[in-house]
Amino acid sequence: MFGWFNKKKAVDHEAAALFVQMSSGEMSQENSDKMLDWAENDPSKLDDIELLSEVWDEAGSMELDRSIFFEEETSKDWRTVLSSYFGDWRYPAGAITAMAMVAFVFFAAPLQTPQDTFASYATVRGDLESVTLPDGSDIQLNGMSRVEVAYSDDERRISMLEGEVYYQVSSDKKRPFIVETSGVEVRALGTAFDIEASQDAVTVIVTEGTVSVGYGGTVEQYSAGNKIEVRRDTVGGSFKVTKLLLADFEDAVTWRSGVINFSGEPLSLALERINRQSAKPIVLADEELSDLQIFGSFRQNNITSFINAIETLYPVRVVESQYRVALYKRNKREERAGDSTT
Amino acid sequence: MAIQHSISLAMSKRVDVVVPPDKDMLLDLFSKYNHSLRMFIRNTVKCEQTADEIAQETYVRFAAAKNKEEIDFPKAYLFRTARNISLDFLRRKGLRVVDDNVEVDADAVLSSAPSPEDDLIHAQAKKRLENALKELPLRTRQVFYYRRYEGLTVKHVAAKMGISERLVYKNMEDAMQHLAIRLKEKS
Repeated sequence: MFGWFNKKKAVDHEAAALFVQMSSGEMSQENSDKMLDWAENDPSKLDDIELLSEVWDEAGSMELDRSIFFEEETSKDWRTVLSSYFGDWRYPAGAITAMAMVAFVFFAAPLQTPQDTFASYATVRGDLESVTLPDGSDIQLNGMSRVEVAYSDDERRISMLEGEVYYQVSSDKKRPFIVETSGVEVRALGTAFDIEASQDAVTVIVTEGTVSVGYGGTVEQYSAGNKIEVRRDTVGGSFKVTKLLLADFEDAVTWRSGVINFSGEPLSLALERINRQSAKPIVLADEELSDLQIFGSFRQNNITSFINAIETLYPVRVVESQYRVALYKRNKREERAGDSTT
Repeated sequence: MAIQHSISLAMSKRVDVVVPPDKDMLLDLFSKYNHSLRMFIRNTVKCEQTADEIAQETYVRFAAAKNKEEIDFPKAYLFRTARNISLDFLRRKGLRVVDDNVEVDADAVLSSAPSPEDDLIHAQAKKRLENALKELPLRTRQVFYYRRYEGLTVKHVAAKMGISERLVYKNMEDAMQHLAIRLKEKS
């Protein structure tokens, strides 16, 4: 924590100010000229600009947990508990040990208070884990998912922070089982359902029994076979709801057995799902691609077949790097080149 | 795309170019300022992929420089060349600026399977970045998040967080200063 009070400046403040403008794409002609002037007459400032650019690029190449930016650390925070749990040995000196840690992808850090049960569960990319809760309910977490479980005498409450989780709830009429995520509350007594919290929507699929789904003051009951998609309007804060009766609803939760089905989902959502299991994140380098519709079944342990299919079917160029796979829009010239070879 | 065409032309010409005596010095300069050069180009063209292509073409022209004056002021010449090519590109595109907020690290485009060492280095770099970010005040951290990871404009960040644009710039400067210290300090 003391780093911030460090008065030492890494770089010249004029260089820092110019860099910030440049990185915003708002550098004036005057400052652009100034930079050329530094290049010859004050190279240390140009070196500072280079250093900041490196830092900028390095920061941009990392996939960080969003919570880092939005949560003050407190000693009660479960993440702090986890980092004290893992901090010392997760990245030890030996590369071999570090690789072994990659296999260790599931963690659970229960925090006990005298009467109630409180626990957090999280998975990382590529993971698929089941947990049996104290009341006998089973939850199954897809990769990159997080839940916090808080059981008390009158309710069983789960905060779902991200990802996709399948819930099989054991019956307890006195204590409703409640899952809340992004302003949507799903209530059950004894039933099974799937919730996916994606970037811009919460999707509930009921596979057994009945649940009630509440959002923005509205509560409605749904029985098995219903798929409810609640999308929050980022501007007005209102909810937009799409309801669908699924003919073959077990198909919608096949991720539990390692298969992902797509039936026309936009590429952006498809990638969000694939990325829960992909070894490397797949990113869209070109926004224009995000609405491409994806159909088909893919095994989660064979993401390559998904990438190959995308590359074959769509004007997409795949650039694989060390840490990620980027999808670019193929340009006209490449398309023609591609056509002539086929 | 016209720009690509000219790159391939320049590339094919490069074979015939008489290599200037201090070509190694030019190459060193190019790699020394690789990151800032691309930032400089991105400021004009607003698209990372195009910026990378322009950086390549800049190098090709740079390596072909024969004029004594150009070589006497190599750093300024490097950046000026990049600026000219960027402006040419925009002119040819009819001044339509493509806004591409998706950040792709061109360094990482060199494809190779990660080795255990790479994984370890990446994990450590990530941890160092996370720790450095956590040392920043919450608001500074959020400003940095919106700018760097969501690609929002300064104006947009200011509106979203209910602060002045001036303060967004200030917070970005603070964040960059701090990260420069933390990420570049000898560990």
